[in-house]
Amino acid sequence: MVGDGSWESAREVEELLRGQDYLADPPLAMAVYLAGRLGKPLLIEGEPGCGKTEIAKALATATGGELIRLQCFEGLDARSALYDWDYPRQLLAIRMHERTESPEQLEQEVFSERFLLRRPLLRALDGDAAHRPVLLIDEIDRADEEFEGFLLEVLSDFQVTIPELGTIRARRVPLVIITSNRTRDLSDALKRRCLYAYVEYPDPAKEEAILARRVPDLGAAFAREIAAYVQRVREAPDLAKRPGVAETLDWAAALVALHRTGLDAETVAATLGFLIKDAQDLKFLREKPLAISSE
Amino acid sequence: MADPSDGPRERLRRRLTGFVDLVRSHGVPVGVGAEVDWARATSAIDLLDRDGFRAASVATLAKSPDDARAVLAAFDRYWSLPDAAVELPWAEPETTPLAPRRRAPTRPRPGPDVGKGDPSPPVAIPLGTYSASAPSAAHPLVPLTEREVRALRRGARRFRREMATYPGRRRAGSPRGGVDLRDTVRESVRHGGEWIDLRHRAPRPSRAELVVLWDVSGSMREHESRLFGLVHALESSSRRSRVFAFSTRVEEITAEVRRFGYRRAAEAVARRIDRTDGGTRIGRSLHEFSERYGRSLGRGTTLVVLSDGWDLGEADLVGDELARIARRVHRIVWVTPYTRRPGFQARVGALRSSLDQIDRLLGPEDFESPWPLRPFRP
Repeated sequence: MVGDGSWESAREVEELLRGQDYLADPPLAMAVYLAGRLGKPLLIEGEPGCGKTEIAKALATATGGELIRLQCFEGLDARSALYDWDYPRQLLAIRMHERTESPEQLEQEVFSERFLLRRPLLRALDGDAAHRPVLLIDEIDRADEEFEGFLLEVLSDFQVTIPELGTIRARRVPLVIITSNRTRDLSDALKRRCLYAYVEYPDPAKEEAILARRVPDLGAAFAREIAAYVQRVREAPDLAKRPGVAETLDWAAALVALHRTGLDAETVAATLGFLIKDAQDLKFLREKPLAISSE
Repeated sequence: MADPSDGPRERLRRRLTGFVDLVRSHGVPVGVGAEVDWARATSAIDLLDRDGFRAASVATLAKSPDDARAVLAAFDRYWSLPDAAVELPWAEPETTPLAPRRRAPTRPRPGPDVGKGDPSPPVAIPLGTYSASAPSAAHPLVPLTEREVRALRRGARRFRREMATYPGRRRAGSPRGGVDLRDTVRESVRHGGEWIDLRHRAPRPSRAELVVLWDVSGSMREHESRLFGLVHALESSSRRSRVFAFSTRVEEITAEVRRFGYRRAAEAVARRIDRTDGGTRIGRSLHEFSERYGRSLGRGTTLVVLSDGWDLGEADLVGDELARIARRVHRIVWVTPYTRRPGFQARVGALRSSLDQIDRLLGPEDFESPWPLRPFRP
């Protein structure tokens, strides 16, 4: 095994992630494997809280590469994502050299790499060549369409152009994970450049296994009980926001902190806020509580 | 000498190509790049590992959950025999079983194909009733004149500027706003480091996504030609827009409305909408809309509901569902064809229960008029 994305098989990826307590389905492991082998970005879509971001963290830890995270938001632009200039230092340099250097020399000086602030995308391309970094572009659907367009050059050629410095090519192609919660459709141009995986809610058996690994103090029976209850919550009609695995883990951790060893109506009512993050859903489930036991 | 074009490798190559063709025939837009990725993936995996091959096909050929389902179905059908990949002679695969999905095409601008003097026959749009068992009925949709369509387009653009923008977080150069250090420094370098001009940037208004919910029930029939013109104009006015038709259930018709030109769009919508004659259940439709498409609504969405508010279902449900949607979107605008009628008051059940959630109540006339949109008065 090579811990830099040059894996021999999807099963190897699955095992690697399992070593980080991330239980990937075989299709997801295959997508990650191919992303590493083909050097293509991997677009992961799915319900919130189902492990899209976690997989990048697990990969970075497993491979020893640096995790470089770009959290997307509305209004994100090249300054925040790619590079910016260190203005205070530039101003200081201008004041120091304005009497000794010509304007051309001054311009060359203040727009040199010395005054360049590297943002996540540039760091991913310009980073350490020894270890393949993992670039996580998180929640791309929150960014503007213009930013998607800006990403195209980066994701297809793994290079960026800085007018003052020229084109910078990746020393080593990073492993790129892009996540989206599907709050809007992404452009076809972006999707064309990516491999694709969709992460769904886990079935109860898998969720139980996740709980057993992530919250080992729970105990097998309690983990099964929690997984079954969460499954019933997800199946409840009319919920605006169904709980993801992240919420299940939070809830389980809270129950452990409260020294609970099983679910009862009172405990569920008191701690449901860990699982349900919508006021109306919370009200609905408190007024019409679900059965604690599946039997 | 054996013909190399009939060797196992060539048969395999054709077999692989045939699979991609089948996937495409099921409505998955597989580009050449994705096909190349898939071919490269086949050399990186064990082709005898069926599940792995299946997963690799999804990872490389699909770009959405719908695509993934179509690829999986095509895979199961095409590679149904264990040794098909290497032994079977290539044959044209079956293409019938899967229903092709509809995708929104690349956005063409609407063409001026309206009222150009050709005596266009009415477009038959099946519209209809609540009863699911009633036969579909086709009703003529009278094309609007070019003048009417242009007026609606102007109105829709005005509407987009007034109602479908919100303060964005992206900033642009502006004489007002905060000082932009980056541009100021860049400019100062030209003058030997002297700050002669301060550059400023201000937030740029963002264009909202328009989502149109069009009531096509029987009670709206007399207004449908005019309202379709409005739907088409609204869709054309915004780069980001989606259109849904509803009576007793909700269907997305964005792809049809985007057809090149008003008339072709009308024909496509006529073919797409398949319903029966009668009433509407606005509350249930809104509920279905929330369930199926709610996650695509955001603070940048302006929702336009085109309906008279006559509801066969529970009127309070409309208010509740609109309240649920209102928490997610930027604005809700209700367009009813009766606002200009003498003595109009928003007393119809569904409208009355929704007033608290509506930011503006308009009529189609507001879009046809050159004047600014009038303020909402319940």
